[in-house]
Amino acid sequence: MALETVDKYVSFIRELLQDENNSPYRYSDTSIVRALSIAMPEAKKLRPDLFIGVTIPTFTVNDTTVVPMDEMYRLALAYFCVGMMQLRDDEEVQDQRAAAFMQMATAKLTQVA
Amino acid sequence: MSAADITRLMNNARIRLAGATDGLLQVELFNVMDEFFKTSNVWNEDIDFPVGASDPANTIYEITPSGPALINMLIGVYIVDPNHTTERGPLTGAFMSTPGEVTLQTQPSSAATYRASVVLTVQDPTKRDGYVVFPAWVLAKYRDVILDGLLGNMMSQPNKPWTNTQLSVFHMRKFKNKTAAARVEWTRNNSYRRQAWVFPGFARGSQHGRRGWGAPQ
Repeated sequence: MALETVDKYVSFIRELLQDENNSPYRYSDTSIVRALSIAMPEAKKLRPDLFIGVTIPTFTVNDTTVVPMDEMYRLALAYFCVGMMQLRDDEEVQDQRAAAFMQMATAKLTQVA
Repeated sequence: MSAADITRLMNNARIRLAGATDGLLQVELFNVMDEFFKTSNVWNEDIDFPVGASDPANTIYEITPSGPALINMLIGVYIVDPNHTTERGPLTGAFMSTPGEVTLQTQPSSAATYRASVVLTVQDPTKRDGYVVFPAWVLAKYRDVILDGLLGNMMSQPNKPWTNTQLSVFHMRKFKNKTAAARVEWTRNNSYRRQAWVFPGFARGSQHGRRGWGAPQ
């Protein structure tokens, strides 16, 4: 199953960012993991039911720590992290693309589509 | 509850509530069952408690259900005949200002066992798997009512993938109507075309003077 742990999220997010060659990476592990930590309370704000009985974790390293998220909504976290990465001031990134990912993350949490 | 019944209920809910998690369904199922039991009164239990001969007036008798349940209302208190302990015996005056605390209108002159008939509703803790605990026959008999309540409650939640105000009103209306029907069935002891009244206590519950009629009054 995909996207159970922090390292699988980081790997998937790098795919979407086209940042898979470590020479070095354009986006560091630290910043992606931080975005994942920020994504959790943002998701809870929209969907508190997904966190019943769950303490929101803070991730610090790219490892095999489990990300407590229902499998139906894991893609929303990944989209949020991609959006967060692309909000940075970077010539490779367009603001529209960042906004699109943030909107997709919200839509994934609040709509069926 | 039987596993097959609860699985059927959850599957019915899941296919109508795209994106809903089981944890949230369990939370709302607790709310639905609480409302259903408080409105319909269908979950009853008889609880015996001893009354001493020298107990002073207004003594409070604590009664506790046998399982995880909350006492909602007192239907009546009966004096158990020691020679017919399986029957309720004659009705006596009693109050329950606080759920679970019974006070008798008049104290007996000799020690006796009293039997409180109460209406129950759900209470924590739920089972380890998160499901609320209530009698299996309730889900078997009222599965459509419970499903309507569950769908109505879920669809009324704001900003969720399964939010649907129109269908929420539709299902809640069905839930309210069917719950009211369940209450009527309860007052008639689930008997077809039975009268809502009974013979009074001095006739021992029937025209023939038999005992043991165990129904709400």
